[in-house]
Order: sequence, then C-alpha cells, then structure tokens
Amino acid sequence: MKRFFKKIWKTPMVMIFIFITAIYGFSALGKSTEINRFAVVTAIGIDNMADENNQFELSFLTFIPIAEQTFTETYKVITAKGDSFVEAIDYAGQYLGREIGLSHLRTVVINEDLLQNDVTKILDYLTREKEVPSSTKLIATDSSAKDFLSAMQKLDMESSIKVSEMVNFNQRYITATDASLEKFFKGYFSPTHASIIPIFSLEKDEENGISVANNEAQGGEGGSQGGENGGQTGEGENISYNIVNGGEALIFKNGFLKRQLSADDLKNINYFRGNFSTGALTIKNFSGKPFENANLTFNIYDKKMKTKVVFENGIPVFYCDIKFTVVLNGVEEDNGMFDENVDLYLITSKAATEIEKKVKSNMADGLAIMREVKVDIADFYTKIYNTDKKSFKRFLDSLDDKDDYLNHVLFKTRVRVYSR
Amino acid sequence: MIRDKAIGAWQTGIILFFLIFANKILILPSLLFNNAKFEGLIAPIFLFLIELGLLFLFYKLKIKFPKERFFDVIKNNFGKVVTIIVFFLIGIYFLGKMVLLYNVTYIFFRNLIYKESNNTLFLICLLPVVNHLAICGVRTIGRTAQLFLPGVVAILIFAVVVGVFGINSSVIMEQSTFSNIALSALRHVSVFGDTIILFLFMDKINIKKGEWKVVFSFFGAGAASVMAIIVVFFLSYTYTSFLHPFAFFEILSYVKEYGGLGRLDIISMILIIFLTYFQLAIYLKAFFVCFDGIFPKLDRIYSVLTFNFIFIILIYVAVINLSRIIIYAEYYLPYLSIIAFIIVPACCFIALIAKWRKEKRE
Repeated sequence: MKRFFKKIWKTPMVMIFIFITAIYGFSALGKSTEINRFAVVTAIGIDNMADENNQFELSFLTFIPIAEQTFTETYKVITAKGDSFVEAIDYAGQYLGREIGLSHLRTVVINEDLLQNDVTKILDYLTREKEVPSSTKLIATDSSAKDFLSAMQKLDMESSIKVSEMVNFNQRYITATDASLEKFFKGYFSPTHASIIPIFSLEKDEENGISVANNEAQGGEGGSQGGENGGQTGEGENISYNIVNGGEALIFKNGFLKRQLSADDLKNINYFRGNFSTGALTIKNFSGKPFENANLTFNIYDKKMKTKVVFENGIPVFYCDIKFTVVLNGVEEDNGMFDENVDLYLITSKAATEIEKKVKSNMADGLAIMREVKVDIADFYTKIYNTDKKSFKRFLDSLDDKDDYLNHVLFKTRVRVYSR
Repeated sequence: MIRDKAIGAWQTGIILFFLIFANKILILPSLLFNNAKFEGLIAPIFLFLIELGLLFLFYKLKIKFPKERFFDVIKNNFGKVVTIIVFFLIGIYFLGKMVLLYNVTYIFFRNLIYKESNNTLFLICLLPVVNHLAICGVRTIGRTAQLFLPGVVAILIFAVVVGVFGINSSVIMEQSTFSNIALSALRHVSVFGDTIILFLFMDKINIKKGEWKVVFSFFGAGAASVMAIIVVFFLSYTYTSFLHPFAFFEILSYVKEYGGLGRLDIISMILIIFLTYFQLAIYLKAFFVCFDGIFPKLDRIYSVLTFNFIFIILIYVAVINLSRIIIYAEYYLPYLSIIAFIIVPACCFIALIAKWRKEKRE
C-alpha cells in the first residue's frame, strides 16, 4: 500500500486526476439533475398576435420528464406571448417553473397568417440558437398553431405517430414535400432565394387525414359564479379533428410568400425537383392489348433524371431526360374485374406513350407555375450556371427582368418508361 | 529534471500532422465561407503552399546545421540581441496562438455541451495536463501523439466518408473575387505557420537520410485532411455554411440529423479535445524553448510559472465570446504571423546563405 501511494505521489497526472475528480465529481453530485430543471420542448407553434405589446404567441409542446422509480412521460402545451421569441420563451419557462430546453425540438408549426410577411423574421431566432437542431421540421397550418400542437400531442399519445416523422417521410412522395430549418435557409441563401414549406391542415369535418379525438369542454353557465347552486362545470364533448397532410405547400422567394400550391401543383413541380421514390400515374380510358377502355394505375418504382444544358444562340436550352420504372398495380374496366395477373404485364409502347404524354403535360404545368410566380424552386439556375457561367451571365444581362429567366429558358423533356 | 530526448522522423511527422490538422477544423471553414463563399477553400491551399515552403526551409536548415540549436544558428549570424528579440517575438506568437486555440475549444464546449461550464473549470481540466505534457518534453509529446494517431486517423476517415455520403446538393462557384480570397487568406494566416515549431525543436530532431519523405508525407496528409473537411463541410451545408461555426462537429452532426446514424457528434468532440491537448502542449513547449533561450540560467519552473501567469491573465482579460475571439483572430493575430512567415524564414535564409558562402570559401 505504501509503495502504491509513493508511486501515485511520483505520478503528477494521477494526482491531477484525483484532484479534478474530487472537486468536480462531488460538486456535480450536489447539483439538481437536468431532468428536474428542464422542460423538453419537442414542438413550437407560432401564432400571430394583433397586440400592441406582443408580436408572437408561442405554444410549446413540452415533455416534462419525471424521475421516479420509472420514468413517466407527461406532455403539456404551454402558451406564452412576447414581443420577441426570446421574451416569449422566457415567459414560458417562468409559467412552467423550468428552463425551456430546445435541443430536442423536432417541429415548428407556423400559422399561415404570419406567413404573409417576411418569414425569416420569425425564423431568425431558431436558426441562430445553437441548441435548435437544424433538421427541425417546418410546417405551416391554416388553423391556430396552438390547436395544431394540441392535436399533435393527442396523436402522439393515441398512436405514437409524430408529425415530424410524417414531414420527413414526405420526401418519398411525389405529391408532398418536406422542409426543415436547414433546407428553408439553404433555399433562402441560394442564388434562387426559393424555399418551400408544406401545409398541414387541422379539419373538423374532413374525411382525409388522421383522426384525433379532442375533448373540448363546453363551458356551462355560471361556471364561475359559485353560490348555492354551485357551478355547472360543463360536459366534455368528444370532437374529432383530422390532421391532414394533403400535399399542399407554400413557396417563398426571399422569405416572402409567393403562392400556395395544391397537391397536384406540387406533384407537377416534383417531377423536376423531387427525389421521390413512390407515386401513382393513372391513364384513363386506355385501350390496347389486353385492356379495353380501362383506367390503369401505375406505381412509380424508380425515377432517374439526367439533365443537360446547351446554349443555342445565347439562350439556354434545358434538356431533361427522365426514366421511370413503373409497375402496373390497378386496373379498372367497365366490364368488371380484369381477369389476368398484371404482375407479368410488360408495358406496351402504346401505354408507355400515354404515360409519357401525361408526364410531359404535368411537367409543363409545373413549369408554368414556376414561370408565373418567377420562383425557381427546382434550382435550374445552378445547373445552367455550372454549365456555362459566362453565357448564362450574358443571357441574364440581356433580360429586362433577371428574375424572369425561367420564362426565357427553353425546356425540352424526354420521358422514358420501363416496366419493373 | 526530465530529460528532453530526441525524436525521429515518424514522431516529427506525427507532431507536424497534429499541428497542421488540429486548429483548422473548427471555426476556420465557416469563416472562410463567410469571407469568400465557396472559393474560400482556395485560401488554405495557398497558405499550405507557403507552409510547405517553410518545411522545405527547415529541411535545408537541418541539413546544413544538423546538431545545432536554432538559437545558436540565429546567434551566430545576427548576434545575441537580435536572437533574443526574435525568440521573444516567437514566444509572444505562440502565446497568442494558445489564447486563440484555448478560446475556440472552450467556446465550442460551452456552447454545444455544457452551458454552465466556466473558464475556471475548463482551465483546471486543461492546464495541468498541458503543462505536464510540455514539461515532459518533445519525445513524450511525440510518443503520446504516436499512440493516439490511429484513433485520430480512424475518426477522421470515418467523418469524411460518412460526410461524403451525406452530400446531396450542388453549388455555384465564382461568387467571390480574387481580392475576397486574398483578404480571406490574410485574415486567417494566423491559423497557419505552425511549422516554425520544428525550427525551435531542431536540435531535438534526428532524421536520417532518406527519412525526410516521412515528414513531408505527414505534412501532405495533414493538409489533405484539412481540405477534405472543408470541402465536405461546404458541400453539406452549402449556402448556410456561415451559420455553422464548428465545422468538424457540424459534419457529424449533419450526418446524425439527416442520416439517422445516432449520436455521432460525440466522436468529433473526443477528437477535438485530444487534438486541443496536444496542440496546446506543443505550443507550450515552443514557448518554453523561447523562454529558455532568452533566460538560459533560469530553471524550468520559472518558464512554467511565467506562462501560466500570463496565460491566465490573457484568458480572463482578452476573451470570451465567439465574436470577440473572431475579431482577435482575424484582425490582431495576423500581425503576429509576420514572425512566422517573414522574420523566421528571413533569418533562416540569411543563415543558409552565410553557411553556403562560408563553405564556398573553405
């Protein structure tokens, strides 16, 4: 033992280690644990406040960890108003008696009313706050963001389905888009200054979407009056809300809202921009072996797009070569159920031509939208610029309105369809 | 008293690799983007070429003066007063660089891991280890670095490979002018120039004939690693690179957030803390060499006390937030880099010419 201590004494690093452990190890034991200090925010809802003193109403979906013998998860929606994000966050912490922890933030829900002005003013704090993950999903809602957060909470409790995961999964679909703080600002700071945010609706009488039961208290008369009759506290009524991820989206340029896209609009644009891996293509009234006047639904199994830019007489010509691998998985015929196995169906040239026509038409519609609002959401700019910088700069200089370049670029698309 | 033994080509190369690599993987890439957009990556290439010139100068000097101390090389050509001034300036230079490196690492850990940490806590955890490593000498630093090298290389390769898989964006170049790139290179020159440490340790370095390629290879590997991290970082975050100040951490954080690979960012933190320990120890050793050169009769304890006293004052006075440290690094420290990039090479160059003329006369 004596030798051991002598050896330690001669080894300064061991002494330093013991010193640091003794001071900071024991002092750490005396501190309150983080789970008792923090309210973990998993979603923030931002609503507009038409108030002189307050600019925002922030709602926080907070997970309050309680350490007992087992951990229990308690979610609560807290609302606070403030003239700035920081002020509202401070108030929320004050109301809750805990520090607001944003490191587990997964979703930011913005009320559409706020998006009529410069959206970057709303998102500035969240981008600069180091705790907030840049992958935090961004969605807009046409209802109150606070109500949306309540519905999110119910949805999570009922089914463990998380809205942030729904947004993340959107990138797989041709009819939807995902958005995160990082992606929004990448678009904002890019040369096109274009960004996109998906819309999630909260509807009462809607057939689409996920149903969430919501207990809405009907306030009874005299509830606060007391007296000998006592207060009628009101009866809870089960109202079912639907969270609808319908594929609608908002496109922004320089942080300002340019247009709301329907799911079909988005689908048309996504032919250019999306890395989707699934989507349906329907051809109506198709007649060709072995079908007769049938509605055929193909599922897109794979999509590959090659692009090439050539300058012809100083004008950029954007060639798009898209290859679809499709699978036929729906046949509707007037004569009833189609009596053959479609798994073995090899796409005929006629069917391929029909699909090509449809895709080309959709792409033309998508392009028309981008041209109309002058927002290059598919980032053609980078591809053209990287092909021939000088020619592109000359081309832009020749335009009266440089933002209107999409209307002057020629697009040529080639669509090829293959069976899986 | 611990004897400061000599190091061979491998240990010299490893120390050089750590010096080249360690202090350029946190805030530098973000600042380069801020100054010169994507063309910002040209600035480190340019600065690495100058640094390669310094290494070549060291090679020549070591060939001509194989056993001599750097202090004696300068003294024999310029006299004692000039030598003391040069060593004083080099000491100040490394002290300045230590303040920068310490602050960047401290702010990184405070912002991203432990908000309640304070300077005292960080100093207590860092200074004793760094002091001990520096007192033990170049050979100890070299051997310990050699021990950690496989881990560092593994983490580095892992970060770059998973970072490459996370890239899914294309960017446009030529957004900056030549003057932006040149200004960016000038502003960040202070992060470079660490090769002059080899000059200070030259009497402790024993490189046999034919082993120089090991040293040059490590230099190349270090420079390539830094460039790989800058490129992966730029292509991961593209236009928002300026919003992410801690590049190496952010690469793994990006993969974690978008690739769903779990808490990879912890790996980057481990690497950063190891590299910080090593680099601070090497800088401190350089400071000790300068102190010993200026005050040859004083014991090591005086240089240790002097360093710790000045360093703690500087840390408490000169810092501590990210914006202040960036102003310090971009606007004040580059002036000190004149020592590494002009004064030391000029002295060496003159010493080499003098030696060459002497040999010619003989």
